[in-house]
Amino acid sequence: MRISDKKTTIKLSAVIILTIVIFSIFSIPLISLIAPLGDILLPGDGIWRVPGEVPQHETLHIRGLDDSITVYRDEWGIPHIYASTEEDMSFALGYVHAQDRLFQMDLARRNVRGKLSEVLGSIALEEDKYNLAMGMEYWANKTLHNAIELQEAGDIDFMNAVYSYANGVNHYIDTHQNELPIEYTILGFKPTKWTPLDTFCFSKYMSKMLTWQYSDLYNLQALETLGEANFTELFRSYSTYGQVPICPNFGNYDDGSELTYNGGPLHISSNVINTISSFLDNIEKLTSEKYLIETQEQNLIGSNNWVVDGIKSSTGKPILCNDMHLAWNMPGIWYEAHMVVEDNDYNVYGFTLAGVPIPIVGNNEYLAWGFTNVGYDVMDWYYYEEIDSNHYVYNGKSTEYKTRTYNIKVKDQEYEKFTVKETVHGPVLSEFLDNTLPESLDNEKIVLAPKWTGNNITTEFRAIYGYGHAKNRADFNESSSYFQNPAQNHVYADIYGNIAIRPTGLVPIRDDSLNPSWHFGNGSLPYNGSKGEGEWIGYVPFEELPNTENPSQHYLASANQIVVGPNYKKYALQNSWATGYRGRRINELLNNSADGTVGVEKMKEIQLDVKSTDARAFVPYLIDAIERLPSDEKTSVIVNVETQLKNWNYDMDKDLAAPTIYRKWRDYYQDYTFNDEFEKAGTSMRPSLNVLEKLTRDDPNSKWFDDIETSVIENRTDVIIKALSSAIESIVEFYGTNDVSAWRWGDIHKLLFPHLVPGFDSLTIGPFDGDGSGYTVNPSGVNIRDGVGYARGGASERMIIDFSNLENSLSVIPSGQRAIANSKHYSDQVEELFIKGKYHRRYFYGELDDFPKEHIESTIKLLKGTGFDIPAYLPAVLILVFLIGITSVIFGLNKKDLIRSKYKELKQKVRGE
Amino acid sequence: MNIKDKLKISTDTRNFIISFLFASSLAYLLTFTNVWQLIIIPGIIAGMLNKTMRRGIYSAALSVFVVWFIFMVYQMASNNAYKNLDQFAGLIFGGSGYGVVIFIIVILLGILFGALGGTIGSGFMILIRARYEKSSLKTTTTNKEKIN
Repeated sequence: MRISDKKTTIKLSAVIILTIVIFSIFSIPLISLIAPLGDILLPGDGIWRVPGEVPQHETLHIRGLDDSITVYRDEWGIPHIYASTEEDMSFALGYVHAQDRLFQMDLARRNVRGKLSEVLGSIALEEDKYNLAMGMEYWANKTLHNAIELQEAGDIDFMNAVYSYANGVNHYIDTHQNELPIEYTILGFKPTKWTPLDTFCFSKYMSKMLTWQYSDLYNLQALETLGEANFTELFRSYSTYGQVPICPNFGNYDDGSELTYNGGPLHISSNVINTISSFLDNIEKLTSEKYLIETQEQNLIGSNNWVVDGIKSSTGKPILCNDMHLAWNMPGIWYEAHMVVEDNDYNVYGFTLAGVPIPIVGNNEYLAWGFTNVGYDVMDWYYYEEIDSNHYVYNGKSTEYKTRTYNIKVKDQEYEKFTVKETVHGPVLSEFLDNTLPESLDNEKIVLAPKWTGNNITTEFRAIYGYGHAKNRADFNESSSYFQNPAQNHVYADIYGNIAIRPTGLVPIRDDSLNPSWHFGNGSLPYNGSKGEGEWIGYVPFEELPNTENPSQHYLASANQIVVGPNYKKYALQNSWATGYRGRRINELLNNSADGTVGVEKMKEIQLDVKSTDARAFVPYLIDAIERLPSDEKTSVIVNVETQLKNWNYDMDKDLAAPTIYRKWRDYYQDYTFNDEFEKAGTSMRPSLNVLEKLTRDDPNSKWFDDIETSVIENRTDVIIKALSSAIESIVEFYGTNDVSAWRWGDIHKLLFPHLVPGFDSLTIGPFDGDGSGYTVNPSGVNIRDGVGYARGGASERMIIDFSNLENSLSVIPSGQRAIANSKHYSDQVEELFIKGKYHRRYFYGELDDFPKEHIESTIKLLKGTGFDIPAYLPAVLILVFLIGITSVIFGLNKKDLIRSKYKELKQKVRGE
Repeated sequence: MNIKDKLKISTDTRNFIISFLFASSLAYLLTFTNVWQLIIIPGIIAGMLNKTMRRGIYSAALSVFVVWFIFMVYQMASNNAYKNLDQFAGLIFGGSGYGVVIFIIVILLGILFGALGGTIGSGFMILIRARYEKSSLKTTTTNKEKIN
């Protein structure tokens, strides 16, 4: 071999090795969670295939359609579907849901079905196990099969919509496998087919979000550490203070009910207490449960709805409003859609969940409905003595556990086998986390299991399907009887002038006859399952649930406050409710509005109201305490603070300083009042703010104001002033100035709309300076103890339905319709409307030809056809093939002589041989 | 000198242009395959079509650069793809505005992949040509001996 050949060979070998190394680096995942960089970044794949906007004109040929379907998207990307049959309509809805929200749908179903670790790896394994153990997928499957049986028996007819919807989603998935949202690209997986079970899982997902709780366990912890009398005073007696019941026909609470503790001393095994404490500590290690507990503590889960009748309204017809409060995410939880089936007299505009073919709240041409969370106690916890790994004591007898076994697929690993044990009440949840249980004394092992109305075959889809088809109150009521979980305050209005509110859902009736005397019963504390305590003996009949129609006050409102007044004695319904500040404010605004004056603009004002009812209750005492200060203790800062507070109108306005002062002071006031006793007792529970309000107003020398760590007996004023000093010190440190006017609320209170996937911060919207607080009608709860607080929840939609002209109705969501980050509809509504307190019109045209052309941004035509669509890139490919061919020919012609000479040479060789 | 003579280009230059066009077309076609690793093929072919390694590398690198540049600019203009770049960059660097860094990195990678392909293609052709010349020389020598 010549030297030059050797050099070339060496060079070539080195380059080949280098190529292999570089290509390998870009072809294998460097971080297990993220797809290979080459797959993400390099042209032709990954982020270059992420769809942007939907095509302006799209025509699809779909096999199996009954007739053609037209979908218009308006300037906010909201689809308006016009179809001839409900099946076709559902198909189209499935298609647009997938087109706009595929990753969100996928993530939600994976969450419920324990399939997160399939794509995220072992970091999600514990979440998957817990979600599977809870039983959501198991009961969704049972509910689905029950629905199929009912459909076959002719009792229901919405399953066709469910099947068609799944077909629509799958059509999108099948035809867009290479054009997926960026989240798929980065995480390196593709969506699998959508099934009816995925849709039914959504019902359990929402139920869990709104009704699953650990409060019984926290209650027992607090009871054990604080003592019976203290617990009764702070968590049972004063909690009705300031409550305005949702149903006004059962009396009012005035100053709250005074309860005294009449039971015996608490006797409970320390093993039970230790087991519960360990379980609660471990539960908070799960991201989803920690999040659920925090959102419940910060009152993020809740909502407002209200309705005025034709006498109260300025239009002579009812006006209905709803804003459901949930966590904020990008994309938001709700997807607006308008669906028309002309031949069926079906014209519904509503908020849908991407994954479900039925609008959850909304209106048709006859009526409207909205939801707020009731807070019925629909879940109880039981503790049992365990005999061995297969048996436990139930009702005094040895009972064998039932089991469910799963094989969880984990990314890049073997399958993980996982078995869930079940008692007669529900799944044993205390065991699945490693090292959950402490060393047991006396060899007594305790296990915990919840009983939950969501772990049943439930029929809420039947109810909601019926709402969209209802034409009057009777139809709506009939459908409501099937609404079981999550229990919701249904607000209602119709074109005939009726208004109503019905807190609806499945409420268990407990047998508390076997309870010990210290047990409050009604599901407020865990039950001893081994002794047969607290068995569910039925459910409150639908007709016996509280219900109000066409009240003399001409309005109805709910904001998660107590459902009924003291005159409702039929059944125990709730053990906890919201503090009542939003409810008070909404009732105040509606009550003080004269008949015939409440219009759509007034409704907007109420939905956007940021006046702090709690500040109005507390600040006078703060001002009074400041005024009583000796003049030598009144620094210039305190004087300025006093001025700010005295001139404040109690609006939690982002540009004012008074909200900052009040809120910081309130945090310290709460802490200094309760922390000494509660931290000593070792419980994380704290009384509601309205309890502190009651103490502040009625008991200035309450023992709770005394700091048990000092020898001096403190009273209300002492604690108020101490809290003020701490607040001022903290604020000055944060803002870096004594200039009180510079202490803007918006600098410390921000609104944030994070992406669904933690860590995807570049897809997060915000933060924005925010008005409001956790207790204002327009809520944005936030913790500012450690500096800037980011509110991550509040109104997840706003809706105002005007029955004098349904096309005058308004709505908005705090995100955008399209969960594709490079689309203008990713965040248009949150940035252009929501944070500015604006709304958009709901185009409610019942006929295709009536839809104004100037509002059409894009069109999809779904036609009956063969199912084959020419790929868009085919013409480009054909042109390229032609160019390559031409190039080859030219090349061939240029080398014609060379080719000829080679051919002659070859011929000679052959002849020569 | 007539026009034909004026327009006459050297064989090497002609090969360069043809290899560039061919490799560019193939590179563009391969962007639709979702298998980015195939981008090495146009580079190899471009390298094979040029006599010298230097021209092979330049032709390959240029073809991949041009195709990827046009593709990316088109996607950014028509599909707002820059936002995706920026969001991905945000995951790495935090904040926003670093999408241009990702853009430059991808372009440089394209040039690198093209150059690697061109080197491989050219290298193989040099070795094959050398072997062919060697066997041709042997055959000619044998034929000359036979004639003699």
